[in-house]
Parts: sequence; structure tokens; C-alpha cells
Amino acid sequence: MALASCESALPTLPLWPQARAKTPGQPTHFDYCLLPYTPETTTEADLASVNLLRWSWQAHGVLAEGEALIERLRNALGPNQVVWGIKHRHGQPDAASWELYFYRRPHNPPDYTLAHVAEIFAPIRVSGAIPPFWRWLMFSIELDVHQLRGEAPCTANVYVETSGLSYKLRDDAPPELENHYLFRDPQSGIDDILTRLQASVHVRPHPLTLAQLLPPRLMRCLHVCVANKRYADAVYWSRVDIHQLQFFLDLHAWPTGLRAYIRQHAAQLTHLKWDLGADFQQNHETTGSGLTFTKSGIYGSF
Amino acid sequence: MARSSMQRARVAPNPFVPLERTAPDSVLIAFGFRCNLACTFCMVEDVLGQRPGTDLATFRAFAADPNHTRGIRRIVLSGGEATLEPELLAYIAVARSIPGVEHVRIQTNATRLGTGPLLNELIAAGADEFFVSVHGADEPTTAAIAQRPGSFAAIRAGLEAIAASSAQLFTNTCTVQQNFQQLSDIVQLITPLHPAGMDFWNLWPRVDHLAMRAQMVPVTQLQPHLLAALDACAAARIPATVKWFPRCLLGRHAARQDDSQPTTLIDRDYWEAVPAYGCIWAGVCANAQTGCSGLSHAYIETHGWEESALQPQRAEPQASSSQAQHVVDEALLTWTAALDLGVGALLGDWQVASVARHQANVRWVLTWGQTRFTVDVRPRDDRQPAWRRTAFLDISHGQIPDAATQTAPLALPAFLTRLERATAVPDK
Repeated sequence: MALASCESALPTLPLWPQARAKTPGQPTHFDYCLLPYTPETTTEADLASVNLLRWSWQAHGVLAEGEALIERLRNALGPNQVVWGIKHRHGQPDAASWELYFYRRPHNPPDYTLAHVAEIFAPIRVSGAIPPFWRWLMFSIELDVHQLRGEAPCTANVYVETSGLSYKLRDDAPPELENHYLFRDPQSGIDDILTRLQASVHVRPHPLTLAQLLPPRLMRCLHVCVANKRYADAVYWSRVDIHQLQFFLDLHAWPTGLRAYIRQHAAQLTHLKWDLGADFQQNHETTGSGLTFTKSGIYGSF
Repeated sequence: MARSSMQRARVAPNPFVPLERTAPDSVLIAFGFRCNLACTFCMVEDVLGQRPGTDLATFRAFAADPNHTRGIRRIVLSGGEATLEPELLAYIAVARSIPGVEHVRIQTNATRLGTGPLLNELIAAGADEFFVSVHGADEPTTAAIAQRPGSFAAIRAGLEAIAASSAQLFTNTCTVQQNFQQLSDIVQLITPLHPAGMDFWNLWPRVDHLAMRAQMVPVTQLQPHLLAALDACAAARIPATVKWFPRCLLGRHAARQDDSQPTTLIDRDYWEAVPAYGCIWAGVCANAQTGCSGLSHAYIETHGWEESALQPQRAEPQASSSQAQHVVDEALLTWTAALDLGVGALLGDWQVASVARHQANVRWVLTWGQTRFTVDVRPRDDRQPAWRRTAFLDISHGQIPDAATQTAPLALPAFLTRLERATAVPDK
């Protein structure tokens, strides 16, 4: 089903409320590093961030499969164990994909492993296994429409502790380096951020390059992350507010239906912090900064 | 990110009571949102004719509450064009009724003050300061900005009338594309009127927040003109203030940068469109901690972060405190200006980016694009090594970057020639 043709006619999606603390002081809000934060304000009408993921699944015709997966993960792992991401490929509205991230955190259950999560994913197949000697921090599983429907196996990426490196697991081949990332405070760590960005082979010196990579409106965030990937580099921003989320979605021309959905429910989503990321490449134009954003993502947790 | 000080002047739930005193001794009352000019960068363009501003009853209530007025020494009456407000004399009377108020300032374009009795009436009522918008040094520039032919002559007449009165004259110039090359001309125009102060406010894009009007001047283009105007003010002993221009680009005039605004009594909707500011170096620059707002988001989105042009004032163990760095070194300023080696001076392709005392030395930073090197000058001491000596001074320079090995030596002879005229490093 083509997104562009269907999103305007989506049936109303039942809203999932924000989960409440079962005991006083229990964290209920987590960022894309699965670290807890305290919302500035809360109301009885607050919605869970995962509603955006569900909207995206519905727009692509895989809501039932997606919600079933959420239910299996929550039943097996408990609440607030999974970070979700929606990936938007620029200029390809039908080519959305999603990624689920599983961190080692103090509140994880003891059997929190890729093998266990792969069992939970069934009938969706997840290939690959983390070698037992790897000191991993997290792993993620990327899904497209076909994989969510169980029509093709998923692969996992593994993030190695303290290294800033991630590898794609492959069944019959060595792991493949995917990503080298660096988190910094956007204020005190600006030197490292700029050094990393200026070293990117995808960045051409131009007065506007840095403003495109680091829009001033997104600099009010907890961390900026710069990632070097195989075919692109990327910038991420953590714990931005809903206004920054909306600015980002407008900037990268996300599906109008999702943006309208957020506008419609903005008051119920303001309690959340959001995490954002955008991949960039050089487009080899001879004028301007030559910067092209090829993919962007937004993140939440459930 | 650093936020504009004007953002901090938001109003509280009562829409006309300041939430926070942003300036210790001044309060600005905004009312009468009408104007007889139509400046292209007007900060209140969207509210002209749309909002009443702070009405007299609200101002009276404010003035009667000692909790609001304690410590206030100056009331600033502003519009729109405040002199169009029929009740302006009553506003002045209320301002004068506040215990401790020493000055009542009118922000005005002065077009209505050059002829007729109004100026004298305002002074008789208690106004003693006029803060006049002067955005051009000639009729074509003023008309292009104010969009009213003939306005320059009316403004000039008003300025002269104020100068001839018992009131003090202050001016304000908003720096934009149409006028940035004539800032020194504006100083020349105003100097004979013996102003008590001149302000230069870089464009504050409250209305044109998408920069659609292309009025913002790149800071590197504005810098030499602004510094020349500030030099002219210094030479004429006119106190000058700069707003919304990065302090690090003001060199010897850094202490003249002050982005603060009076506490403002204005209805809260006004603040909805207040422009956000930021600096890429805010986290590592001492200036960001002491009131430098950096660049507006609209500027950054139009011209970039200016990460190479800006010069973050990083903390150094041996450096003096940020407060001390913020003090103008008038002796150094005058000395370098006399040698034509002040900030902005050209040495072939090279330009003086900054001059500052560095222990016993005076250190120049010369830039060529993104390349820079330092030159240190100190009193001559033949026992110490030096790269060159004049009759009175020793000169050494820092490592010349590879990219500049061809051009840097060309700058140094010109530098030496100008230093030949100096007989000593000035005392602090």
C-alpha cells in the first residue's frame, strides 16, 4: 500500500495513554538511550510516545503486526524496555522502516539477550547471534514492511560497550562495521562535535554547512551525537521538546499525516522528550553546501 | 543556548506586570502603537494599529505599587511613535510621580519635535531624555528605511531642537543592509549635537523572523563599519552601546556590547515572536556567560553560525576574569588606533582581528580568511631575543601556519612600518 495514497484516509487510531508509575518514584519516561528522565509536566490525558510508531505502522498497513510485536515484547520483557525508531527515507515516502533497540540497563530482566528477543520476535525471524565474548551495550533490529509481516528475516546491529562502534551481524560472514558514534554535550563538547563534523568526507566547507547540520533550534538538547556510517554520516539530538520535534519533521518533509497527527495531539505529547537523527551525504553539486539529508529518524520508547 | 535578554523580560500572568526585573533601574512602558514612519525593520510592525499597549490606567496601577517601582531611576516611554500618543503628557506625569525616578526618557523618531511647541511641552512635563532613532545619514537612506520621503529633514530638525534644549540627546541606529556602510557618517552627523550616548542595534528580527527582507548584514561585513563608528564615538568621547552583535568581534570595543533591555511593560502576546539567539561557541566562551546573545536564529539560518569568524573567549588559567576582560582598555584602544593597527586595520590581505594585552606584551591576532597568527610587541630589551626591533619596541611573532607562509611575511613589513611611530607600549 502506498503511503501517500492511504494516509489521508486512515481510520482513527485508538490512543494509548502514557504508562503510570506503579510505585512512587518509578521512572516512566525514557530517552533513546533508555535512560530515565523526569517530565516537566504531566496530565491525566498524556499519551505514550509509541502512538507515533503505531500511526506509522498503520499508514504502511502493518498496524496489526506491529501491535502484536509490541504486545509480545511487553509481555515478555515488561514495560519501558524497548526504544523504537521510525526511519523516513527522504523522497521515498513508501520506503519507511522501523528499528527497535534493546539496551543493557539496570532495570532489564536477567535473560535480556538477543537470543531471547529473537524468540519473542517469532514468527518474525531475526538472524545472527552475538558472540559470547562480546561486551555489548545494546543491539537493535531493523524492520521494514516485509520483515514485520514475517516475509523476510531481520538482521541485528550490535553496539559494543564504550567503543562508540556498532556492527551488523551476518549469518555466514564476519560482522560488518556499521557505525562509529560520539555523544557530546552541545555546549561544553562543541569542539569535539565540530572536529568530527569537519572531518566528515560528506561535508564541504561552506558558510551554511554547519547551520544545516546543527540547526540552531535543535541545539537546546541534552546531547548531540555525530555518527560516521558506511555511506553517510549522521547527527542525532537527544531529549528535544515537541516544538523541536515538529520543526524537525517539517524540515525533513515527513509525511503530512504524521505531522497533522502530532499537531492534533500536541497538548497530550508535550510531557515527552524526543530524540532525532538525520543522515547526510554530499550531493556533488558545485554550488552551495552540497549537503543532502538522505534519511531521518525519530525515537521514543515503550 | 543563550537567549535574548528580551526574552527574559516576559510578562507574568497579569499581562501588564513584568515577571522579572531585567534591568535594575529602568522600566520601559510600551504604548501608543502608531507611527508616522514605516521602518523596514520595525520591531513592533505587527502590533502597530493592532494593540493598545500599556494604557494609562495600567501604568498608574503599576506606578502606585512600590513592589514594582522600588529602585527604578528611569522610566522609558516608547511606542510606536510615542509623540503621537495624545496622553503622552499624562504618562510623563505618572512617571514623575514614582519615587526615586530621576529620568523620563522618550523613545522617538523626533520628526514631530523640530517645529512647534511639543518638545517644550514634553520637557516642561518632566521628560529629560530623548532617545532618537537615526537610521540614515542622508535623505535617500533614511527614506529607503523609513519609507517616508522627507523624513530625514524632519528627524534632523528634531535632533537639533533637542540638542538646543535642556534635555539630553541619545540616538539609536539599527544596523541593516541599507545603512551599515554609513555608520561613521551617522556619528559625524550626530557628533556636533553633543549626544549623551549613541546606540547601534544590530537587526533584531522579531517580525521578519524568516529573514525574507534580506536586511541582515553578515557580521564580517558589518564589523569594520561598526568598529569605525565606535572609534569615531570614542574620539568624540561619546559613550556608545552595541546590541545584538557578537562581543568577540568588537575587539577593543567589547565592553560597549550590552544586549540587555529595560524591564518592559507590554502585553504578553508581544513576546510570542521574540527572536531566539544562540552561539555555536556559547558553551566554551566567557562572553556567553556575561550577556552576549550571539546571533539570531534567523541570522544563523541565513548566513550560518559564523564559526570561523567568531572568536570564543576561552578561559585560560593565566587570563584575568571575564569581568576584567570586559573593561575597555582605553589606552590600548587609543594607541592602536593612532598607529592604524586597531581591530579591522588592513595589512595587505591580512586584517587585525584582535589586540589585547598578554602579560607584558601587546598581542595582535592577524587573520587571513580562516588562517591566523599572532604578533607580540613589548618594550625594547636588547638582552632578550626578538624577531625585529624598532627604536623602542621588540617584536616577535607566533608560528605562521603552513597555509600562510607566502602571505604572512608580506603583512609583517607593513606592521613594522606602522610600529616605527610608537615610542612605548602604553601603560594600562
